[in-house]
Amino acid sequence: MNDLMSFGIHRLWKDTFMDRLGPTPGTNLLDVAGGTGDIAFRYLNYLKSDRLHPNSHVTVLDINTAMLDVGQYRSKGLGYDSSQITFQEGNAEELPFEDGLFDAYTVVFGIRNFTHIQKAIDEAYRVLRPGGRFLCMEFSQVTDTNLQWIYDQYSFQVIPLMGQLVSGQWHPYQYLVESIRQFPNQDLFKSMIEKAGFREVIYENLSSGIVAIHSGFKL
Amino acid sequence: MTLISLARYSYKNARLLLFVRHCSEQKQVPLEDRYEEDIKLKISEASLPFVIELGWSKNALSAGAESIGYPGIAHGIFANGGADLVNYFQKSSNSKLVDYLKQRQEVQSLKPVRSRVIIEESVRERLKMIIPYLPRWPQALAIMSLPQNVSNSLATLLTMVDDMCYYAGDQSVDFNWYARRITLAGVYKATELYLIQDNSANYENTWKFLNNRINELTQVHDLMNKSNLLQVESTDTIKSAFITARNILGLNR
Repeated sequence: MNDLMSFGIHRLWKDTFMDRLGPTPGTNLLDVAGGTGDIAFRYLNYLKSDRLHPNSHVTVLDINTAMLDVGQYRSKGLGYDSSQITFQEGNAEELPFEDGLFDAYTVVFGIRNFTHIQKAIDEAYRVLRPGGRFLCMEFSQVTDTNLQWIYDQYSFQVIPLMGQLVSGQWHPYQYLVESIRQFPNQDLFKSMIEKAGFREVIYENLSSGIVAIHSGFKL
Repeated sequence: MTLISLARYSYKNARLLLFVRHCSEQKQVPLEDRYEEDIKLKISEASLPFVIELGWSKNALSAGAESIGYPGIAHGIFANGGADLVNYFQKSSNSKLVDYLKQRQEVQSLKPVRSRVIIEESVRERLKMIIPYLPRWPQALAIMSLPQNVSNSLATLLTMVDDMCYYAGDQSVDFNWYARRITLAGVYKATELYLIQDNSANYENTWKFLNNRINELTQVHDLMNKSNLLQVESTDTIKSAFITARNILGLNR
């Protein structure tokens, strides 16, 4: 369904995301709301060329156990074990980890669905060690007015219909496009990240702002 | 008439630059902004020892960050990766050069020498700073000449030759001001290219090459002064090139 809705572009977005993160051997990553492991596997794959460093590790946290099951299943298929990847159920607003445990925190297409976004960012700040990076990819506001019109038509007219036809559900996809519109725009979200204490906060628009990557450092 | 207004204009420009120089030395950056800048400087400084092994790269920055207790992933603070590291090296070397030139100035006041001697010495002093990184310097040159980095590398080059001329006692406010800096930048870059291919002991050939270029420069300069070769057209060209370059770099703000 993701492939269908984004014409497969979500894969390119995720690849770009991993490129921006540029993980180094030994990075301890926390991927929040990453149940199916899309980001976690890209991360492990990125470090493969360096022969997996013993300390390279990714923790996948998701509130949804069904998603985690999918990730675990895929992980087995790819031959990873618990020394490289662990799956954990948990709430992003109250992370079940001690302070300063991770080198990087990623959340891809997840933060939009959190009830208290600011609380989740504060938690991210807490579990990162100094020098650690917060990197987030989320749907954002389109900056190009012409594209905006096409994007709106597509979102409201086509996507819910697609959902109905393909998976027999209209409302989840209606929610999807509405939640995208309600999510804070690039600059507002940036200021929220800064409010949590992150520094050097910047964002980058992909596909004219359909998605944006926000980056910040705990310094 | 044009000549006079041109001279006046250049005069104003040069005065402005002296003023800017004065201000930038006194500038106080707010503590809050310096905090992030300081961390970046610390990581950059710590990364330099890894340059020989890992090149001017993200990897060197990661290794540097790790060596002072930050996670390797902190290299992401440097959006331009290796280019930022090169830029840091150039800037810090330039400020070391200014320290050297200031000391040199004190010696100069006791035992004056011709300004061409000071120029030659300062070029040599500056080039010596890249010798520890010589095996990796061609890579740095390549990075600096990438289109997206040209503005930064030109700016550091211009600042450097400006410092050299200033401390060598060039207080001129005529169009020589521009000509001198551009030709000196040319000499510096030529000698730098010579240096990266030099196999002679103690880089003797490079210093000889530099000496020859400076001699030529002095001869041309004398010749121009004597024969009035410096026509308005040619100075116009040089001047406008310089102003355009500075405008592009945003130095004329």
